Amino acid sequence: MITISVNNEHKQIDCQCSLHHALELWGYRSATIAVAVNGEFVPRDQYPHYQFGEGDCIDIVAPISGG
Amino acid sequence: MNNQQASHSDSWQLYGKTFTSRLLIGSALYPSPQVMREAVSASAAQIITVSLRRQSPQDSGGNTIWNYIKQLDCTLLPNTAGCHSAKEAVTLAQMSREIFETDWLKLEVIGDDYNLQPDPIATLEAAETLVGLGFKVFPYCTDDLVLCQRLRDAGCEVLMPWGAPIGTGRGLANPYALQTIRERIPDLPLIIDAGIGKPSHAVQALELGFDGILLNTAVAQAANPQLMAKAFCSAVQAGRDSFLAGCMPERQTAQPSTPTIGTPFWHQGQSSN
Repeated sequence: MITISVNNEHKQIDCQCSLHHALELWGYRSATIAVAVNGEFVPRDQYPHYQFGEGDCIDIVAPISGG
Repeated sequence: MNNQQASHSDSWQLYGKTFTSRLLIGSALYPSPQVMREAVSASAAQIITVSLRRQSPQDSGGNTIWNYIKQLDCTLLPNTAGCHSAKEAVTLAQMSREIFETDWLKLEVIGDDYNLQPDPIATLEAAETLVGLGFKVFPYCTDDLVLCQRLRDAGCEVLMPWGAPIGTGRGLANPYALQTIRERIPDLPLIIDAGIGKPSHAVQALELGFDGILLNTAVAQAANPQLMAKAFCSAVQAGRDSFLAGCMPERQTAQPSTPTIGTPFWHQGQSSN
């Protein structure tokens, strides 16, 4: 298990877990979202192969209103 | 072509897309999603700004407003609000392109939190990178002529200098600077972004020759957002028509509008004040 940060909240996750699987675990399966890890954009087609490292900071964003 | 025809055929283009409305509107700060939808409709705006924020799966509030926005049939202009560096803005832009499926981007990199002033250096740096990545960049910038020229040279085909700081409603704080930008950059669409508080400010912006305005708070925080949206729709059209019509030159002294020849009760040798 490794510790990562998801939207500024610490979580523990199996180091073999892909980003795709992690998003399902966290409840984002059908959500309209985009992901960055450590400040770098991760395209959707990389989710199945993307694996986390210890201390990674994951940002998950969704559409909102804006000015 | 008469004036009425001129108004109706006066479309403009942004990155190859043609629009008839010169009002771009924000989707935030409305009392409710329903009021937002009615106000946007009353404004006749064809372009609406949206954003991205961290969201947990349990928080459906963002999705609710997003569902309303999708129903508006407006062209989306996602922003990078909240970014404080070029790197943050570039990353958020890439996330935005994936979610909203558009390469249009309102580039916003804040340099000072007191007045939310855009960081000119980071904005230019981000614009250069984003243009290279294929984005159609709408940079929110200060009213600095040289910065605007540099952003144009970087490949921005639209510029959005501020009228005044975001949310202040103070109107055009520096009309001279804005007019200078218009005169020195005559061929690029120029949009006043931020600071517009009243429809009269919108008229002034369009009369200066700006091609459009982008606003949010002035409508969303009005006592009656739907009616204020309608007022801004009329103001933008009035300002544009005024610009096209050509205003009379200002004079230092009065000049009678009624013909003076044949003035009754006038006698030879009588002088006027």
